[in-house]
Amino acid sequence: MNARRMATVLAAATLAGSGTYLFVYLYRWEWNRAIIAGVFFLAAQMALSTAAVLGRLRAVETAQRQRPDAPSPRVLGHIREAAAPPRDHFAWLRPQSERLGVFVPILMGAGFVLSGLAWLVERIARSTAAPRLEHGLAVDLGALALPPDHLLAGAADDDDLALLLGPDARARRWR
Amino acid sequence: MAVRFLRVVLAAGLLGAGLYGLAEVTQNRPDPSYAGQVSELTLRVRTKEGYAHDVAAQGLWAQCRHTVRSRTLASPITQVGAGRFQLVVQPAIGTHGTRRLLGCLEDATTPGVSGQVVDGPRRRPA
Repeated sequence: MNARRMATVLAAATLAGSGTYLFVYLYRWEWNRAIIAGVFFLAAQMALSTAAVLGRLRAVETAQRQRPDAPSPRVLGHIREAAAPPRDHFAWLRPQSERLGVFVPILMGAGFVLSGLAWLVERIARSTAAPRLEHGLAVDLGALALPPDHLLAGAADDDDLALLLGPDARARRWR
Repeated sequence: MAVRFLRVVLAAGLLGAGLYGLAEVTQNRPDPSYAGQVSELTLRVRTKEGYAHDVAAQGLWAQCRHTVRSRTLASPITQVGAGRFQLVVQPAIGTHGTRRLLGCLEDATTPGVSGQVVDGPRRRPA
């Protein structure tokens, strides 16, 4: 007898004994002892339930471990025979289909309507957004614009800076 | 099918009979009146850690007298031996009252005190 079986037998004996004494103590009006017996009864019950669940889990694990890697050809054959026929998703496209081919005209009509709507939106956007964007862009670029009298204002009077205005300006100065 | 039905009926009958029997033996019922009689019983008390026996006996009676309702002691608790005390209850208590009183006295009602009714209760005229 292994340890697990001994523990199970012990728990079962505890369950039976405590359950019996629970009622014996109730019959004798010994409430404190009845409560203690009830606690032992519940503890033994929980231990046995947990052991039963763990035993089942262990059996499932063992079955999983002992599962053969290669499937049985007979079972595989049955599964393949019972497989549902592949579904033809585009049967409606075939001309021999008995259904009316209304999908393509509807698609084309919807495309036409959507294209019209898109054209309308584009026209409205062009007429309203462009002036506004140009106005904002002009304001933003204004900060980057050169000063009205270019960066070398007064350079003609300075000998060294006059060089930056080119030989003509310098010649004019010496003239 | 018929055998299975019979088994179910038999199991249900046994379960019902068991439950009925359990209810019969555990149900509390009023006792007949025993006016003019007293019940005397001998209580053996064991204590721990130097708990005085007479104090323990008094405490057990104080804790358990509610189980026999309005009854009182006909005479004070008297020591009749080492750890043994005699209680005389009036009026006398019946079968169910005896079960309730003994259950309380012998239950672990008081920490460190263990009581056991070693004689009685016996009914006698007051």
